[in-house]
Amino acid sequence: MKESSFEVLKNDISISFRFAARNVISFILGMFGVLIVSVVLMAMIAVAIFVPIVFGLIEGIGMEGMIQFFTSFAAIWSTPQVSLMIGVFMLLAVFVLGPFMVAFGALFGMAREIVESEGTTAEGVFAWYRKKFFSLAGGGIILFLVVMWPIVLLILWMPGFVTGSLIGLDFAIPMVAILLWVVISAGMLSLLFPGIIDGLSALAAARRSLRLSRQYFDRVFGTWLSFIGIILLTSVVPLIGFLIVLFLVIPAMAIGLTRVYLILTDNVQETGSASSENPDFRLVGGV
Amino acid sequence: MEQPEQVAPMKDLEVITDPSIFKVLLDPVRADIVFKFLVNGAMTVKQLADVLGKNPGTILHHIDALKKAGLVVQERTQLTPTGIVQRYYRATAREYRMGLGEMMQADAGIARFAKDRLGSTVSALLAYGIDIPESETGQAMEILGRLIERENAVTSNIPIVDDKAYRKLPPPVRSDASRIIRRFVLEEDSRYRDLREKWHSFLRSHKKGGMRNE
Repeated sequence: MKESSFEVLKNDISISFRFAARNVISFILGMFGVLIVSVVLMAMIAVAIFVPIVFGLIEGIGMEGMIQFFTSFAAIWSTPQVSLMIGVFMLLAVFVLGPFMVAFGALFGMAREIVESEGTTAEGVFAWYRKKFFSLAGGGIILFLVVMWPIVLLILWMPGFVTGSLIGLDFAIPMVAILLWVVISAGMLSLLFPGIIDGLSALAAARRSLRLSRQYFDRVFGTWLSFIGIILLTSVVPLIGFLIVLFLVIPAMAIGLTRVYLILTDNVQETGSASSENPDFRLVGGV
Repeated sequence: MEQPEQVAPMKDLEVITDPSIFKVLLDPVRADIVFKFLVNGAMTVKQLADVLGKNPGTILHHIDALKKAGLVVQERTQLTPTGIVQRYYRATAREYRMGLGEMMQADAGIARFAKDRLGSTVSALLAYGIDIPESETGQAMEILGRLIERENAVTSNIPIVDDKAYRKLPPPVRSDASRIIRRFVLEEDSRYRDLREKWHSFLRSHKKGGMRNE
């Protein structure tokens, strides 16, 4: 039951899409709601970071100095201090993307409700967003850093990769390596959010995801790559494709991965196979 | 290799001594989930949501909190023909008791709750013809509290010498065996016997007339 085959994979994908289609309204409303909350939260975080910096700079070096400070960033990018820039960029990206990662993770909460009980509500996403905020944010940061840091190393090692000076095979080989890394590392961590929703900490969920994806490589990667393929194929159609990916394929992926997680983390029985041979009668009182 | 953890058999009795676990159960929905349903057998989130009239998401959050508190475990998982992956949850014990001593030492809210609960129990004996005047309520609570604490201490940690055989027992048989042993170890404990005798003579001295069967 845990191992994959074409039939199992087909079944996993079709069940995921069926559940996603049945709950599409809840997903659309939930995603809109959580997106608004994320934008507001992101703006608040940005304000909390940038306002003190700007006021500090105005106070400290004046308006002229501040203009000089920001224009100096362009110069830094083309100098050996590019690593510093990337570090700052990564740090800001983690803070800014945090709320969106939590929003994405909260979709797995809706998916969990569907997989365990066949239904969800749009407002349910907010409960996951609020109750698992820090774990999901931690999971998002782990995912971001694991997927991104080798790419950063590559950029540091071959700066020409981003400045456009590399062409032909010199560009194609690192590009393919990056794509492979993104697909494989994100696939290995594809059960991270279902694990967090299941009550694990971000780190424990990451460890469990890595273990499960190694142990049941065919089932996890079969599901993951199928959804990546479906996303790529659907994205070919410009606007409608984007909407389908956003409101149907991504929810189906969350449902599919959650379902695989629940199946892989327990000894699953077919319905009806658990029967009680001992009716729960008590024989003994207070003897 | 990732293997599902083996779930410990349902205990017959668990004494809650950690005030933070007790606080988890102060939520009425969680108390209903545990005391009305999961102590009697395993149920899915959907089943609990239906009987409690709540949405499954809310129940999942409560189950998560109860699992973290160690009051609920996931017993088994079943796959339905429609593709639903049903997880069955049950309580870790058939009966939960408050560790009175620990609760009395806890923060003011819990200590007051434990004291009020003990006081109500003593007052409730009037329904059985045991009339304890207000001036002696404190004494009654003190004796009963010590008796309960001793009982909890003696019965909550009875060692199981053959865990393998214990796990194989069907739950009702395990429960009956547990009751027999609990009674036996209590009768063997001289401190418990003394406290019980003290409590019973206190009850006898306050009995009004005869007692009817329930």
